Amino acid sequence: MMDKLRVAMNKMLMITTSVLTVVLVLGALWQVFSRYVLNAPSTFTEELLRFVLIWVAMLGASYAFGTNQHLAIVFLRNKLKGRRQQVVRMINDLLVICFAAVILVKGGYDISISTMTQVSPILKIPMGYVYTILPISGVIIIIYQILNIKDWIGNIKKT
Amino acid sequence: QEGGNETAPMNEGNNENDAGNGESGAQSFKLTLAHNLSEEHPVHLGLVKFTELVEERTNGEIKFDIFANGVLGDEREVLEQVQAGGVAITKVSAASLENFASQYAVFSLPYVFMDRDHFYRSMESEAVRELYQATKEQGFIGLTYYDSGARSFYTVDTPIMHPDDLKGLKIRVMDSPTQIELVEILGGAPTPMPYGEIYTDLQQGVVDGAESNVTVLTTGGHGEVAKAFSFNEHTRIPDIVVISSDVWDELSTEQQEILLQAAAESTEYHKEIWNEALEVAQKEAEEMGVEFYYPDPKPFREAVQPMLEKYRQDPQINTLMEAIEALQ
Amino acid sequence: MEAALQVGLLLFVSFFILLFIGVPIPVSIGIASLLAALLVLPIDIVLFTAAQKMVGGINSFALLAVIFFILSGSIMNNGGIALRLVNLAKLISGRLPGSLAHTNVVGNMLFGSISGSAVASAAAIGSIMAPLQAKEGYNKAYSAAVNIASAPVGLLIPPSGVFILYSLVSGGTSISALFMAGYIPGFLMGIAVMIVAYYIAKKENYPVSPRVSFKEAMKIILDAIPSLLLIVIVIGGIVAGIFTATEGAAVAVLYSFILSLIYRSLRLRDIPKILRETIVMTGIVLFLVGASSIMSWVMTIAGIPAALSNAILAISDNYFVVMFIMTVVLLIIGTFMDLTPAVLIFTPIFLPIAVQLGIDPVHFGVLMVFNLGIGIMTPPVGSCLFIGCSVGRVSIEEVIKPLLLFFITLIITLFLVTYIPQISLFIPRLLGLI
Ligand code: NA
Ligand code: NA
Repeated sequence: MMDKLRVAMNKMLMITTSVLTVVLVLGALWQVFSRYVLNAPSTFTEELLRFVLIWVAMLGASYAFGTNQHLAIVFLRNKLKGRRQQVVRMINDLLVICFAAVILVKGGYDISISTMTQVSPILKIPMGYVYTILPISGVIIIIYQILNIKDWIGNIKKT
Repeated sequence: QEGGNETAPMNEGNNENDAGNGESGAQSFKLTLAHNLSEEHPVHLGLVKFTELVEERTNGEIKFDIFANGVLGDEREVLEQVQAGGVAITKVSAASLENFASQYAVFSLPYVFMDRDHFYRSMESEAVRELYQATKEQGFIGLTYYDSGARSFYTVDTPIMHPDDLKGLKIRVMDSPTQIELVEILGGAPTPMPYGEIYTDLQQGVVDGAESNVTVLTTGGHGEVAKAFSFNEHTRIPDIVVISSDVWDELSTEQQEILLQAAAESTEYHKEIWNEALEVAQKEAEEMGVEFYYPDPKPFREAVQPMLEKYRQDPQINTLMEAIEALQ
Repeated sequence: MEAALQVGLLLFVSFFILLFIGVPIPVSIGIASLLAALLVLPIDIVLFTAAQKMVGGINSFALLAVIFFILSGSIMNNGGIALRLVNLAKLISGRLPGSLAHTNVVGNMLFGSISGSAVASAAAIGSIMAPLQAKEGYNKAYSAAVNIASAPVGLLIPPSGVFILYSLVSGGTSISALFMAGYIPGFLMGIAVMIVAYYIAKKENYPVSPRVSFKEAMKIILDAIPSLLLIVIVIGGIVAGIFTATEGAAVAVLYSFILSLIYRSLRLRDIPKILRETIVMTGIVLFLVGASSIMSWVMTIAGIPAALSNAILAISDNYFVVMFIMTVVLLIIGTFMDLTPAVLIFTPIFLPIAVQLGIDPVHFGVLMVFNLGIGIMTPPVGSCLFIGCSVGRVSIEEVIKPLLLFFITLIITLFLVTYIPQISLFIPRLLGLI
């Protein structure tokens, strides 16, 4: 069940971000083409691409939490033995959850709500929509972390 | 009601409750003031004047922490912090305020003001004072305005004497639909770009020109790469000094009066040093080799009429424009 | 001043504790910043602003270049382009003793001048060179060391993703000027590695590659031209004003994509994997950028950079002494921290000091990247070291000894670049960029 959830989340994140990444490349190329070749500079791409990049980055970062790929200094932790290492590891995982919960979910929710009546200059979309990626990625990170904790505790029990 | 405003009552941290100092019975505050210009800029000097007057007249009940140079974020970000109550006061371009209350778009429309005096009269009118309250529910209100000069076109080497001269030229504009429309209706190709890229983009020919007031030639260094500045004076977009609604409501009526009076006086002070700065900038730019041109504004004014008509469809904008016209 | 001290202490002490117990770096930055900010501001405002800074840090058009450079690097990494560059590098360095080692260095320089990532370079060039060198009897650890020591040249030789990050955190230093400033120091870095390689090759009697015929040479050059054209298109396009540095990075993606399809080194079914790698790397880097902007906000409200710069300048305001201290501190930081977080965290702290001493921000950017570029080849944390060892099939312990001599030479070169600003500033001044 849990594995299925992880696989489904991985797949959904990758499909979404891959499409958005293609949008980024094509959008930037369109910006050059419209200005240099058509002499009619695109006016919406600059803002659109910035917003899309924020979404790609936050979703990509969430995925990287799921696959444990974020940069960390683990050589000292790896020197610890047995139970001690497990305790430190648990503290680590809980701190990640704490970070996601307070900054991304709580702070992100507050700012999304507060900026719903403010529109972006060019596209005129509420800025709150741009900020919504914070609580969304916060929740995704928390789910991934819980799955990660379950996985490594399961592995310890097996051995 | 906006959650972000609710979550940050003023007296929790941004101010220091100072019971011993309360002879008048009013609360004491330490207010954060932030903006994104340098400490030499007339806006900074104007704001400092404002804080000095307030501190003096409240006998130190209200004190300020000033953050210049955009260290707390860009204009929009600091304004969001004002909404949340983390920052008490900031200055924003009226162009950014369009995104909070659409009536502010009036100030971004071309040739709304006949000249500088008409602009001053309008900004100090009852209509604009009412406008300052339009964003109260969104967490901030206006206190006063600072003159930000008349914006004109400047290019690498082409003088813009007539709208036809803009044909085929790529002109950098701010992120604003009205500025894009303005350049379009005059026949140019509007190109939104981050401010920081203008210098290299002019130098390397990514764009042919941009639009701003003369200080951009010196403080922004654009005079090194753009040699033709044409005073067609299409817009006068003021800066608005705003205060967080939460902070405002915490103040006593007396303190509010002091703030408004000090703000108005700082505007007068700012006018003086700003107009001096414009003269100095133009002189320095001339020494850099920039040529200045003085086109007849009439053909420009005529060319933008359809755009003005379109915006007048909005009754709120129309009312404000009529009030401004009445002051001509 | 007192607030700065308290906040600063809490910030750095908690940051380093979290860092060393293995908390992911962006999370360490975020939590330490929260704790420190709570000393001076109420929690609602701290969380609101932290969330805002997270997005605000990423909300920049220039940062698009980061994802584009990673994407184009990943496409080039799939063979094709790298192989043709290695052949050209062989031709350039052919008659030097220990030819293949020099080929590796020149290969990294060529790859670096079309790609913005050192790790992509170490992987692409190293994986082609390692088997070739093994066949000619080169010591495996030595070959890997050469690759590891020369891959970071691509950070200095433009295009370079890390210069774009530096430009942002330094408050808008011109990207074009930084790019042009990187050329000579990048070449010097390569040459420094080649000098050591030459010395060792002489000692170990490593072979000289056979002379190639004129016809063969022409074929190799013609073959490499489409790949080299990328330099002309990207750097030329930026300098000629056809597009901005960011847009140039997107053009590089398109061009390397088409080229790889033509070379048949890229199949359409590889694309999902390339996209996944790119998105994860981008997420990692930009999440760090967001978290770092929380930290610089906290440092700003507490006045830490000013307090720190006063403290250091109180020790000495001598240009040579202060630069020496900063260089050594950065070298130490580089041993345990990766390039990106180090640039993001330490630029706002050190740059104001350097500027007070009259150092050009462009020059300082080159110093940061050169210095921390050495850091990515050292244990315990070094992305270039790890990749280099894995493609060279050697352990980290084996590679340390041969790497040491390169390391020392590069530090000497770093001091040269530090104290002779003209090395960095000559080209940008020539082009009138600064
Ligand atoms: Na490079
Ligand atoms: Na290292």
